[in-house]
Amino acid sequence: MVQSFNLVQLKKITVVCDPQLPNYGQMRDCCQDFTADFSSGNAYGLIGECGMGGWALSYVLSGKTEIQSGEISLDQTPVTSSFLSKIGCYVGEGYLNKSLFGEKTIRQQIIEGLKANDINFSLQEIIDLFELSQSRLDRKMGQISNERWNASAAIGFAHGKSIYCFPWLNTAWINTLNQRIEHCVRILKQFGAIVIIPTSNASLLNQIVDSTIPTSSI
Amino acid sequence: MYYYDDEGDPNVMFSGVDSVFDLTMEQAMALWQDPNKSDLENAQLTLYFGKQALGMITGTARVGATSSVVRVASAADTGAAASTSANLTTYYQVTSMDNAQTIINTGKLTGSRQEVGQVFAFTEQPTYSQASLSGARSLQTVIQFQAAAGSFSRTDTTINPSLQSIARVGDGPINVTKVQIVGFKAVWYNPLTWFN
Repeated sequence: MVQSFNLVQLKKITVVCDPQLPNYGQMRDCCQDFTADFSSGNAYGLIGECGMGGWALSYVLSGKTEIQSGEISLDQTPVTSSFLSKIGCYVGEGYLNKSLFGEKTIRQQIIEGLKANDINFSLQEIIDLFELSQSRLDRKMGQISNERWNASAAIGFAHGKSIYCFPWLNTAWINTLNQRIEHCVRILKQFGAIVIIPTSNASLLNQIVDSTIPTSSI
Repeated sequence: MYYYDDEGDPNVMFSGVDSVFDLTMEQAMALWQDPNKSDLENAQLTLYFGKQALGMITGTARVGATSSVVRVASAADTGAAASTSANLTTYYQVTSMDNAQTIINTGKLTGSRQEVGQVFAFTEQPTYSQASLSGARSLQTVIQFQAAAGSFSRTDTTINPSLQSIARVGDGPINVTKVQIVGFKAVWYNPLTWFN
């Protein structure tokens, strides 16, 4: 991992944003005065209906949007959105995905991460860890079906990310992606990452996360 | 937001429309005529009776609901494109040559662990570009087969939105018959596909 830390603390976070993911969806999401602690090596379910802040918090922790108020700190040190973008991975999309020659393939994005960061894994080891299929490695993110979730986590891993944030997932998505999410979460936790999964029903995440946190006290 | 469970019973205050639900004609018409249907502004719902579209409620794309379809249960309702005979419906699947041969030999479609046993199929023969967009694991060929009507009852809402009108998903294993390798649908601008 690029950054080693034990605790991420969110204090009275208020954020309004329009999180989105290509080929998935987007919406206005907001949370108000959200406070929680996230420890490395653990996975958390942020529980609330779509629009109640879970997706926005995922966006915040992956550095894709700024908070309106509150404070985020890593091991007691306040951090900015731009810092979070260096350590956060928004699961479902690639990393620095665009180039002059168009979107990069899964293989290219992983190799780029391995070269740029001091990661002690080979391409093949990451392929095996995240159960990627060889036949999809030379395709773009939009052409690998549900494997994009594994691939996105693998790319983040190769780039040394420490916080992995999913978009808000409804019941159907969690049921469909259950095996993929469970596998990725297990691997990422093993290497000390924090995983954030916003959804509406805590019971869907029983076998996946270590604890659940409501996004709203209402 | 409205949500209909598998029995077609409506529930309220649900954040997304996830899948295809078979409704009775009365339930579908009630939904369509519901004065509160503006609550569905973030979904895209199409009501069908048989192959006839009764109406559509559209709005901005939302998580998991970009083209969810509510269809009216009917013996005549065999999907907009799939052809049907004696309760068997013709579907297509993009696969490898090896898998195609296995399916021909076993007469069975089995989903992978990663896809929680789900099996994916198209109601129309896909072109190569459609297959690429679908993200199929192998893009070697296409098989045509018949399966019991209803085997692939749900719209694949995880696929690229442009393909959701022909992409279906069912819970495997699914028994199939009359399996044959047909290749990708020919397109006029690519001579390589003319003689598939």
